[in-house]
Amino acid sequence: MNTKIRELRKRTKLSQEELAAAVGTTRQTITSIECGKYTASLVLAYKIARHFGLTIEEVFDFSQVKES
Amino acid sequence: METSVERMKEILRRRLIVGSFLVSGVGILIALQVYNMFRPFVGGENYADFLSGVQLGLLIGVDLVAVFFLAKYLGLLRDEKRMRESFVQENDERNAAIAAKVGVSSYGFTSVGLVVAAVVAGYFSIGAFVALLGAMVFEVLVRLALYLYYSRKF
Repeated sequence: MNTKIRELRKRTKLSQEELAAAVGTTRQTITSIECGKYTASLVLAYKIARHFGLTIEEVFDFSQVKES
Repeated sequence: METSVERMKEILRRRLIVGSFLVSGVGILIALQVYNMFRPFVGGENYADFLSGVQLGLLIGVDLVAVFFLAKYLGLLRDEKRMRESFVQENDERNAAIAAKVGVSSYGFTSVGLVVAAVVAGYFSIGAFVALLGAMVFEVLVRLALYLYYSRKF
């Protein structure tokens, strides 16, 4: 899943480490989410979106999620 | 779920208590092994020195690992920042997902490995064959029990 996390971090001059500490996860998890290798859980996605003052849909790109 | 500092300290203290019992218990087993206290009960002359050495090495290994973790937990109790970082690492969702995948994937490999080993061992030693078969049955029973437990929990 694509995300705007890297863009948002650069805009707010936040490192991966700082974002990870702010949302209670590890830097490796943030890296994996940014690369699209790992999909964040609902709770973590909410925490990340809330940290940037945005909604989940504004941070995470759901356009590629197939509808059943 | 967020874990408060007090809850983290409580968890670490409980681990320290359990770890201390483990270190003491294994220490007693090591002492018994060193003084050959088990020899009269395990076949006497048939109890090979090699086997005794391997068992002693395993017990010492378990004790060293337990002591390492006790020292780590004591250190964490004294440093709140490191304690929080440690708990974040332990409870990280990506690490948990990796561990779950490893558990599921490795079950197939170990099951097939045990079956093959049991078949091959059966040509050489009935004791080894029964031990490997027992290990396979134990693995299946543990998996079944965990499946039932987690099916009810979630």
